[in-house]
Amino acid sequence: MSFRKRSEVLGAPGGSPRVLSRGAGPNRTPQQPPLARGITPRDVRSVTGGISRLSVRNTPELSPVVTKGLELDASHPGIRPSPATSQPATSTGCRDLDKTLGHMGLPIGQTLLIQEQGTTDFSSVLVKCFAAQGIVHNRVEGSNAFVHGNTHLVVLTLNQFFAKELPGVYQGSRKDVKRSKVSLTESKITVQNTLESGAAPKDLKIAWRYGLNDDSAKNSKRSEADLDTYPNYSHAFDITSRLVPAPTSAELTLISPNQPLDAVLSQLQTVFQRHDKKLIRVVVPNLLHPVMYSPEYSQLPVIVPLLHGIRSIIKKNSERAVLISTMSSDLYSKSGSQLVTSIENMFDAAIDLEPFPQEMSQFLERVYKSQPQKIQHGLVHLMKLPLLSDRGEMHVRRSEYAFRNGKKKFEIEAWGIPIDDSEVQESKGGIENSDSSKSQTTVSLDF
Amino acid sequence: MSMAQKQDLVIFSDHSVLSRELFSKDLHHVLFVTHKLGTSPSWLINALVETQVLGFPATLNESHAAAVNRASNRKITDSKCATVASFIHNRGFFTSALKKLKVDAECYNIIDYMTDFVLKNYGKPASKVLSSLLEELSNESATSELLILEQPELLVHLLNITSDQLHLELINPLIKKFPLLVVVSYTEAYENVPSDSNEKLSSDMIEQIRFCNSCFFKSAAVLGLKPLATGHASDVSGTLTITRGGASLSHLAVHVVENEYLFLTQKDTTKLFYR
Amino acid sequence: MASSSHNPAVLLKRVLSLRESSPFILCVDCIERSASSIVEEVSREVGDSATIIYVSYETNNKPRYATHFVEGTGSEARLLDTIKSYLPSKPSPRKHLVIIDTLNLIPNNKLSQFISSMVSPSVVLLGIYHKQQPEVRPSSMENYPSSLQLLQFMATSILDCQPITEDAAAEEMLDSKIQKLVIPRGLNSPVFKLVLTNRRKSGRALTYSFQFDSRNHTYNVLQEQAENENTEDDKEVFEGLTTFNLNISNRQKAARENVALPFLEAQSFNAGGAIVYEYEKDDDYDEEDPYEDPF
Repeated sequence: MSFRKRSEVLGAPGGSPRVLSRGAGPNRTPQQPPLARGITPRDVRSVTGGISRLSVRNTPELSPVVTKGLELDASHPGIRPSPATSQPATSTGCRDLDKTLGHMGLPIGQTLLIQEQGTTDFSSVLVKCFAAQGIVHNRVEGSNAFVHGNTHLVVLTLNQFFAKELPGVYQGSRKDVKRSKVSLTESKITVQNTLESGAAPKDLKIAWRYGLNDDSAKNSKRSEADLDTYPNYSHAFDITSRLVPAPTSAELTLISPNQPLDAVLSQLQTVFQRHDKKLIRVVVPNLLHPVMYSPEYSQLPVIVPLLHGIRSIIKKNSERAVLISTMSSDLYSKSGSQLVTSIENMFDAAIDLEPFPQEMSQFLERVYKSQPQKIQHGLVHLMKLPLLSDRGEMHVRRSEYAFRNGKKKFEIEAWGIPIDDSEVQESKGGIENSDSSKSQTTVSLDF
Repeated sequence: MSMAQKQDLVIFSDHSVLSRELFSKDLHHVLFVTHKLGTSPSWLINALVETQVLGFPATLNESHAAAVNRASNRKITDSKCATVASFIHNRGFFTSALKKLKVDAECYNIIDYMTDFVLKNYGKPASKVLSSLLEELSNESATSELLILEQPELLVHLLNITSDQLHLELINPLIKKFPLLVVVSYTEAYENVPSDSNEKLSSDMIEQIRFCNSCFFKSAAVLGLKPLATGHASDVSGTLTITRGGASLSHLAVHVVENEYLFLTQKDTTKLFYR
Repeated sequence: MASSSHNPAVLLKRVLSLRESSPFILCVDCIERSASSIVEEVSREVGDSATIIYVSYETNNKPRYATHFVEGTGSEARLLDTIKSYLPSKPSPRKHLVIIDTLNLIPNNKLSQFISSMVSPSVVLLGIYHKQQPEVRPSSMENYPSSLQLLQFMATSILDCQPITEDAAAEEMLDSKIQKLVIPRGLNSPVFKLVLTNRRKSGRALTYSFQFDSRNHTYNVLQEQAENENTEDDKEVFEGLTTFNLNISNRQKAARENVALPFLEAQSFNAGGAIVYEYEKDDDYDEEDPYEDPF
């Protein structure tokens, strides 16, 4: 463990041992000289990040428990501990969804169902972001990714073009592009940079102290710190663009759901065996979609074993697998039917999207005439949250959140019916604005 | 609410959760736990295991630190252990929770019918699978006095059988093997039962209702978990209602104390209050 | 026999102690009040005077009073053989009571045969049926009566266990809760309502309601309380208001209740309002004319 000393010198005041666990990834071959591998840009960042967050959770991360699970978790760019349970979680590719789930992501080993009412397809945006996020994580390592990689995507779909439809990373406004360039040069290893990073904690500490008095400032600081600690954890996706180059079979496996159950399960298992060192993100889009699934699947004795089998595989690999699934619930939520409840039961987490009916949309359009970017598209009902619901916490929240689908992100925010009266709107709009912006700052930061 | 008096969980009239009377020789009893969306029963399952192992639900109502502290100072009673068999959660789900409660791993056994159940049993004749399940679970009765079955009703769909077959070929023989059987069922589907009785029930729903009703008539007590009708609240997770079941306990010196608790599950602890 | 019809409590006692000649007693119960108390009461009344064969689908505990304990199986033919092996082959002076703790697991199409093949002069069958248990009905059996209908048709006495509810509103509340399997406190209590339907040889049925207390083993006849209370209320309302007599006689009241109110007609439609059009002989209605469509 020769690199240990090296990093201690680097982050002198904090001496954050987090670097150790984060650096000790499986993708780094031990033959690599410690000097070269010890100071990758990410590690430098994580040193500063670790200190700026003033986190004191060093000891547990040092423990050799990591070796039991797959070591990739510690260094994987798309994995961070959940603030709620400190279990590792991965980003869903939608920052607001990450936050809504209560873990800043979907905890590894958990499964999420997104139901959608009506005939709209907002959930597909979430699915595509989830898929694209996996691919982006995989490519963090650069060209190495295609050979080794850290993430693999499995999609249960008939859509052969799924890979080509994934959105690209949001490039941001000109300012953002500039900022990213700066950070790129900063991260280059120069003597100056290492010195700077050593001095950073002091400044940040002061900023932190002042920040205590100001909520929003604190929030933004904290999320910036999060971004520093987990620079490649979560990205914003531009749904109008395409991920280039499109993922290849090395990054993505398609499995047809339209085949016997055991075939589906064994193919899924094979993927897990073949990519035994990677995080596997499983996507089951449009579950029970009539075009993709034959009518038999609507029978409980067919769909329940399928989901039970898939759940079993995820749980068996619970240290490196996540699953997301969507279904249109209107088709199957006939009164007296057990289907939707039974499917929900098979998932650890479930949310329900309810797009606004026409009148509501028109109302919102009228109210937010001057701020069209504030128009929400529907309600988000929470049914179950990962890990938390399973241990008995009650997290059913209906009509408390609303979503908005924009070009660069899918937003989820607290829902309140805006006031229609235009005069009241004038005076109150400002307050509401600042309220919502305050609560949203943590999420809507662009970079 | 934080001021509210915490309450001990009591199910039987001798102020116990699981009365020793239940474990009298040659007697067999059933408890039925129902839960709905939003009120997962895992804390209650853990509390029942803890009760079986330690004689009382030690960590219920305690803050986590206090519970762990207390747990380390207690001695284990000589009662037999508990077995939990789940069709929806894997072994790790229970072991990690019970480990946190410092329940000695020697004192319970988890049977995992989640992992690979479909891979192992898909396409096999149902009665064969049921008899192998029965055999495996029966073996547990050598060391366990309490068997907790979580969501056995999934077998109706996993094996495509009727609830009657499930009861006759699995539940009934298991009742015979164990002094106390706890059936934990997910009853969210009931929320979707058409209120108009003239409307025809779907056959899935009929099976579900038949399964639960049968469980009800077999049980001495029903522990019903449900969220508040008003939805999410920050200081209450839901209610736990303890009611008499369909089976008579007149042959015992104890009876079921009907009660309704409010409970709050947060982090890894659950607290009970009176309504 | 004549006396029993005048005193319902005596009749109930005779039924419970098997002294009334009633070869098939059907006990209908529900989640709100299971029939376990009735079975215990019968066994207490019968005591040693009969051999009790307890057929169980729901428990493995052999009740103290049971002479023989038979476990229910999926095959009713096999079950029938087992039960029959305990029954006397020829008429015997000693009564045999067969208790089946649920008839719900006997398939609908085998039910009538199952029951009839067991009954004989020295055998009484006491069967419990959970009335809330839905049945899967294959389309080929659609016209066949449901199990509950069958049993009620065949039974010579029917004991219906019900919870005691305050009023219709409370009952409705309870129903909607039970429908969601939300079980409130206070059910399955030792005191409950028991409705006895006893069939005479002619098939004519007499129905009485009792308040049954299984702790004291007492049963009091319940009168049609609800109606009585209402009339009393009415009277009290007008009492002392004026010197006029605002009360109406029973005959007037009956007449008043028979008046069909116009809005009741409208209510009988399930969805919203509707036009009730009745043709009269003077109506000039042309079927061909679209503009004359009364609907």
